[in-house]
Amino acid sequence: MTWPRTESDYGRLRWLVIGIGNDLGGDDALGRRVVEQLRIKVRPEVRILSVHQLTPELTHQIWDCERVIFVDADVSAEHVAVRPLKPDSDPQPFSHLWSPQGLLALMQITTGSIPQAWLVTLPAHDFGFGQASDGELVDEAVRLIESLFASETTTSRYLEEATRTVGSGSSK
Amino acid sequence: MTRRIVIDPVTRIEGHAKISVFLDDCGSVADAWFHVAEYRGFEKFCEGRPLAEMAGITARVCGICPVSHLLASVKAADRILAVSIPPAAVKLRRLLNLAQIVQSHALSFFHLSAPDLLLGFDSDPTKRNIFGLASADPETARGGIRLRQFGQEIIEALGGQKIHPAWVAPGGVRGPLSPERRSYLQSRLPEALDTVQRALGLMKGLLDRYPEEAASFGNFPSLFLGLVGPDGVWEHYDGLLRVTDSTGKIVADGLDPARYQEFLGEAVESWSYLKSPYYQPLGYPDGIYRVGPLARLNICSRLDTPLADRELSEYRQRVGGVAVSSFYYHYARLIEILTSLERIGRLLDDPDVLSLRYRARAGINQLEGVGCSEAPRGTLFHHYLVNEDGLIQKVNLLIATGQNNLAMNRTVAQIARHWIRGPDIPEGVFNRIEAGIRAFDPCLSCSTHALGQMPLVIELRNRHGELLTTLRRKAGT
Repeated sequence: MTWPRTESDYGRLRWLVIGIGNDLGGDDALGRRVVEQLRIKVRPEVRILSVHQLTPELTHQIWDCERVIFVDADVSAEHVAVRPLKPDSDPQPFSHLWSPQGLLALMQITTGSIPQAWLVTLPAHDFGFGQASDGELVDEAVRLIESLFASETTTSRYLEEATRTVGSGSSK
Repeated sequence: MTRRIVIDPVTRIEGHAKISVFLDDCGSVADAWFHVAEYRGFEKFCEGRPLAEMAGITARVCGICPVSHLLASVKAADRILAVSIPPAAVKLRRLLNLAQIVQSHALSFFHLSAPDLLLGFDSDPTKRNIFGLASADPETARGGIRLRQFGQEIIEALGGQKIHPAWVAPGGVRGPLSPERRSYLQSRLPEALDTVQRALGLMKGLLDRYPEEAASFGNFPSLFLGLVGPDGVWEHYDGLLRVTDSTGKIVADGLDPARYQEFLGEAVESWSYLKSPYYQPLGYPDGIYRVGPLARLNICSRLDTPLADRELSEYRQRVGGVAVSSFYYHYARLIEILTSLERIGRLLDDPDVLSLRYRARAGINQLEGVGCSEAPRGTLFHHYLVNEDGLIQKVNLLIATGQNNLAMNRTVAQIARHWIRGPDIPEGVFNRIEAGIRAFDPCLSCSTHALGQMPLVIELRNRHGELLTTLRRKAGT
């Protein structure tokens, strides 16, 4: 969180990047390592959040941005990858475990709109007690996200893809 | 033929539990148990740790109310250090605890219980959740989310992070509030007040909708226990313990929390990890008492904030003076949010919260200390014994949810007897049994540290012990 701030300080940010995971859970922390690297290269139009888990309260910070990228470890992923997200059509509420799609669904219901959203996944193998170790994967994910920031062409392509994927889900 | 019906897991509570209902030969409810099926062990593995680590360790008891454990822990440590902490530190700790009450109560009401209350106990279970609530009443859902966020923001503004802030320390706190953060929090206060006042309006409208639930959700005489300040004013951080009965009579007053073992006993049942504390002068289990919002509003003379005192007056008229039904926990919770917000406003206006005199430092000066404060769910005790080097020799944690254990069991039995008619139990009745537990907002992560025999099998048995059937409910519904 950046201080000082007021409600009006939020304004409408271009990007919000949320790294998700447990810092003590081995590869589970990969998403947070990615955003910590991004934080070093901070850009004024980008807000970085590093969270242990997703909670409903994040919907209000997501609402304040035009585009949101979730970054998370994924045991089923083979490569660092990005894909557009749409709201979960059948969200399963569980107070301790919210998915990015579930958050988008809650946001759509409570606010009537959602930002364009992506999920960046990193392959994960070990969620045991310890620290995430694969710096190359983190670097690759950082480069991928920076390419989204930097390239209008790339951004436009992803935005178009996202719009197609979101389908009937309303977006800003 | 005695039959046993099990609800497992109990949903929309903090932690994991199940409920057993025993039917007699006629299909009537003979008894009901609330089992807590998780074990933590903090009291044991804290032995040998340095006193300075206790706040950080015990905060990990719970991700919902770490602040409560931080405060009780450092208050125990203050005793062991034998220090009087600076006035600024007291105010900052109070601010933190009030924020904790706001965020935890908001979670309980808006996220966990409002779906039952606003959508109906018999409504579609697949919609009876925060998504269903948001669809039916987006303003309430949105306001509730932001209200909880506000409590978390105060905690973050003080402690650096929303969960497990390592900011409270023996002897005080680790830093003051900055003027910029204070200004931001002050700017957020009006919206939070609006949200809870709107929710109170909704709650009062709902009371007429659920007379049968109010009459059957833990509606029985018991004692009520909690901290009060001078003149019996509602208290959350300091003060002395008061015990009242269901007529409002003060049974005991001015009790020193540090001497809790002289008047509170701790029983253990074989079928739950949850301890069963009781008021010793009445014995076990007659010494059943309740803690938390319902108890705090019953024992206090007033809340000492104008908006909340008006609500308290109306509350007492509506519930008949003393609230003996646990259904009113929800209503009491909202009034506590309101008084907490008013008190937060006062504290944010106090220049002491910016003071640089926020910590007293000392070594080990006593070998025993008890810390006591009001957690959102009720009175919380941390009791430590240390050696001359400040290494923990013994720990006892007396947690709010545990102190409500006897009342939760009686609540389950009362709801079961009132609503169950034979072995076929409609989903809405299952939900009412769960909702009776949810009214207490139990935090099982906090309260499960007493070793017992954990029943792992979900069963319906006859009186000969023969397994008849097993009932389960899918988690999240």
